[in-house]
Order: sequence, then C-alpha cells, then structure tokens
Amino acid sequence: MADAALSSEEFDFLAAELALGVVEGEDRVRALRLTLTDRSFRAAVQEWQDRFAPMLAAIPAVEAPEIWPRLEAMLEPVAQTGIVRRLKAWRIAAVAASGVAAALAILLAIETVPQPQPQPVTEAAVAQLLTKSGEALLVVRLDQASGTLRVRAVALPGGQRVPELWVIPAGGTPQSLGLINRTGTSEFAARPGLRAFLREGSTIAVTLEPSDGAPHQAPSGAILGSAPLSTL
Amino acid sequence: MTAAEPARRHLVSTLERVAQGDRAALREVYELTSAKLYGICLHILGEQALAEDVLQEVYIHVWQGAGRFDPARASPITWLCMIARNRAIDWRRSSHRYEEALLAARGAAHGTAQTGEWDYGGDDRAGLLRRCMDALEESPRTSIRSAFFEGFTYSELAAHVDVPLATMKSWVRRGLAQLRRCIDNG
Repeated sequence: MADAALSSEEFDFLAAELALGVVEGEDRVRALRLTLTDRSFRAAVQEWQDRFAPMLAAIPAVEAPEIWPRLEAMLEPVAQTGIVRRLKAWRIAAVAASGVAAALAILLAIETVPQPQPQPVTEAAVAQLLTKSGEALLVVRLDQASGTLRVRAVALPGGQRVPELWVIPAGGTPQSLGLINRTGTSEFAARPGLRAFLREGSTIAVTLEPSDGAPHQAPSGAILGSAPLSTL
Repeated sequence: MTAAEPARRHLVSTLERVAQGDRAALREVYELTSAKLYGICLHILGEQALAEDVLQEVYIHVWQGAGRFDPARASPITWLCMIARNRAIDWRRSSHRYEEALLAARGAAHGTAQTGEWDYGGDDRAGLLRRCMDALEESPRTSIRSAFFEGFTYSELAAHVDVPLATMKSWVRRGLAQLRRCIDNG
C-alpha cells in the first residue's frame, strides 16, 4: 500500500467512495493521487464499480433515437488519432527524446483540430499544478469552446522520462492527454473522445513516463502534481 | 452458465473487433445495446436531448476504449452500462443541476423494471445486489442510491436531508461495509 497513513479499512472505504462519487475536497485529491500511484487502489476502485454496476440492470431499456449516422460521422477523427498514436510511437522510437514532444504536439494539433462548435461565449478553465511542497510545476489553460489545451511548463524535472499530462474524470480512471514539452509552451487540441472529460472539477495531473508508447493506457510514474480544472 | 451466456460471448467478440477499429462491429454493439444505454442516460439525465448527446459520447468512448475492456474482469454489458452511468454523471455534475436532480429524484421511484435479456455477471449479481441493498437501513440505502444515480457528493447528500456531514458519512460508510460483506458472501 502506497499510502501508509491509511488503514486497510480506510483504504477500501476511500476506493468505494471514489467509485460511488461521494468523496470531495482533500479526500478526493488523495483518492485521485492513489489511482495514479497505487495499482491495488485502482483495482479496489474497479471492484467497487463492479459491485455497484448491477444497480443499472433494473433501469428499463428505452428505444434510442437514431443517432448512428451522426455518430459514424464522428468516428473519422478517432481513427486518425489511432494512426497518429502509432506514428507517435514510431517517431519517438526513431528520434531522440528532446525535440519530439514539440513535434508531436504540433502533429497532434494538426491531426485532431476539432469541428468548430456553435458556442457564443468562450470560456476558459485553468489548473495550476503544484508539487507537494507547493512549487509551481505547470499551468494548464483549456479553451472550452475549441477543446484546445495550452500548457506552460514552469519547472518540470529533467531526466530520461518525459512529462505526460492526464485528466481524471469524477469516479474514473486517468486518461492520457499526451506528452508535453518539458520547457516552454505546448498547445494542442484534446482528442475528441477526451474532450468530454475536460470539465470544471476534472483533475489534471502530470507524471514522468517512458517516451515510447505514449499516450499510455495508465500512468506508471509517480505523480508530480495534480489540480482541479476551474472556470475563470 | 445462464441463458444469456451466448449473447454475452457474442458481445465480447464484437467488442474485440471494435478494439481493432472495425466500424461494422461498433454498429453492431450500438444496435445491440443502445436501448439499454439510452435508458440509463435518460434515467440519470431526465432529458431526451441530453441523453442523446451523452449516448453519442458513450459510443465514441467505446470506439476508443474497447481495447481496455477485459472480459475476465467484467461482463461486457456491465462495462458498457458503467461507461454510460459515469458519462451521464460526469455531465450532470458539470452542469450544476443538483436542484433539478433532487426534484426528479423525489418524484420518481427507482422501480424494479424488467431487466431485459442481458446477463449482468453470470450469477444474477443484479438480484444479489438488490437483496443486499434491501437489507440496508433506510438512510444508508437511500443515500447510496442517490449518490449512484444522481451523482451527489457527501456534502450535497447531507445538505439535502439536512443532517451533519459526519452523520451522512457514517451512514454511507456503514452501508458500504455491510454491502461489501453481503455481496462478497454471496
């Protein structure tokens, strides 16, 4: 168990509370940290989701309106993202790590520019990620209308591993937003499937990961810092 | 083994094809499950237009995340239902509609409707969970249901029934501990 301050009973309660979605404030931050750093905690959250899931069995089915054509039209960018992901893996393997994140961020931005949405007001949400001792790591700014993320690195540690950005939805598992530049600014459009996660209250986190195979399915490195997205 | 086992196996293999980028397979998953998942979205969100948008998000998530489904860990329909629930709750939480949600929750009893043909885990886990939920005292039971279906946090639950936060927390935790014992002992 990564968090020595928690008894096994508390550990399981926290997993249940996160799966149920009742936990908030510092406890929620602690729970989200654990989902990033502790595999057994992630498993415990999953077990609780499995225990709750049958409650959904009792909800009656309702014939859905025909959304397939609309849905199918949205699959294209997703398929392209898959190609970008493979391309990224190849490029990262082929090229030295330093300039790659920037190249990829641009590539990702080009490939996944989202459809403009009819939204009258442009709202921005920000998250300032700090270390445990309170030093600034980076600032994330999300343009909610376009789904564009602008990440400014303040002080990210160096080394072989590269910084990867994550979003953690309420009660959910971390989803990779992709690699970011260790210094300076990265700007890219969130993949269409992740845009729904990027909302006020979602947690943004950063870890250091191996440069190949990004975006990763789950974080392997310790969390450097995390913060909730808040609307300006 | 239950009567629903072939349907379950078919859905697992179709999801495997989705994970390989097969659109026709996604269409099949959509046709097989959209009524069930739309029912969940509609139940949680209460508005058809919203439920429709969230349903679309759910299948896009399935399109991108089918590779993460592990048939050894969960039944495919349970996995899909939880995606629909989590998406609907995420939307609901972000839209600050707790008051509306509360009114709807007061108005509508979560009845025991038909469960359809799906197998929710192979050993009637839905029936087991219902029995275990029914065995809880009323306060823990209604609080856990409300959190699960309406997405309320501890402080929101406490405010709605006008009890101290610590009381709500102890109700829910008591319920969770009892629920775990009951489910794990089958």
